[in-house]
Amino acid sequence: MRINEKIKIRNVAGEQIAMLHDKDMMTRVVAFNETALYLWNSLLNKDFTIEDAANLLLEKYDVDEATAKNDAAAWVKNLENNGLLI
Amino acid sequence: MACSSKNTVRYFIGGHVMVVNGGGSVQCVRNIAGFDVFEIDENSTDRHDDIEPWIVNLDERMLSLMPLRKVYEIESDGITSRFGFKGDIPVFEMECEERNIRFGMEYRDGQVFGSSLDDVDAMRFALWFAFNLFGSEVGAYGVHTSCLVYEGQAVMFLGESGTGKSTHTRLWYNNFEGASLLNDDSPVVSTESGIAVVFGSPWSGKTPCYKTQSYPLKAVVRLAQAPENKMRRLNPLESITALFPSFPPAFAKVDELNGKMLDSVSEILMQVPVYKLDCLPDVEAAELSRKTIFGK
Repeated sequence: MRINEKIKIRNVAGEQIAMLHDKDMMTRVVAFNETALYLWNSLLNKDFTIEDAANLLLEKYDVDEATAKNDAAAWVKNLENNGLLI
Repeated sequence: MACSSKNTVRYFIGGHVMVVNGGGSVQCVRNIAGFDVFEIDENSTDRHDDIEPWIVNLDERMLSLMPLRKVYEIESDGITSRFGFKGDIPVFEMECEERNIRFGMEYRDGQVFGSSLDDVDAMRFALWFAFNLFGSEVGAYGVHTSCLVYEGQAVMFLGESGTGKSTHTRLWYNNFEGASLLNDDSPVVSTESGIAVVFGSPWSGKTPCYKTQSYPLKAVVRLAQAPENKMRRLNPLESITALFPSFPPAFAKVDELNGKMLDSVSEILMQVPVYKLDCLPDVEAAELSRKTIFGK
């Protein structure tokens, strides 16, 4: 899978957000916390798997493998649900 | 000057000079209620010649014939308005068969070029749009709000049409000494000077309130109708989603313009608090918002 590179994350008043426009004129705002942003920036422009995301978490944070994999899967699911993956 | 004043009219709005050139369409511009307040006399000593003017040329015939790549469309009072691009040139169009409106304008080489228009309401909107095209380059926007002045500072009340913005601001200025209306529909909000400032404008909706003054912004309040009065400060993320929709919606879907609007939103949010006010249309609601914002 890949991150949708058309989506830009912007710093607005200290929040890291992506603004998404649905077909029905609705606008959604997705906010990124530090971890979600770290994964996004590390995996942008790459093909990646949940494993890759989990490994990035293991590299940076003091977590066990199961937690990292869980968090990575949750992050991917979240991106998927918001149409941020292609 | 080659052009006689009849074919040119000059305005000072939101800290900017907007010049409209043309033939018959200039007369239409002159007929818009409220614009005269913002007019700068050609021969006046205060022509703001130090400010690079924003030039709108109407009655133009040489407009792009390319098909419009539409990004936004809205219908209001039977007039269909569209914003989009022809090639990479931003284009705004209005259409209404019953009122015989067929208008197009494009923003290229730093100026706006538009066709002829003799409908006053449509012209008011076209100039609002033109102002925003220029303003997006510098961080000045027409923001949909009913805006008050109190103690020398501006408070913007936001909400979708019909929420009771005008009702709430009226409760302030009818009940509180020193409170007055700055604009009831679309004042200009600018962050150009480094501080968020609200200017009165000729775009004031149904309430004729055309003021040239400007005031530093004190607070932003998003209104919602509710069975009881309640007010709370919003967190940064909530503040973004409260303020952003009141900026020109046509620009939201164009990445570059969206980014510029968010830069302005960001600057405003770094400076002033945003509140959510759930309220009844009563004076207690106004008292609650005054106490929350001004501490009295």
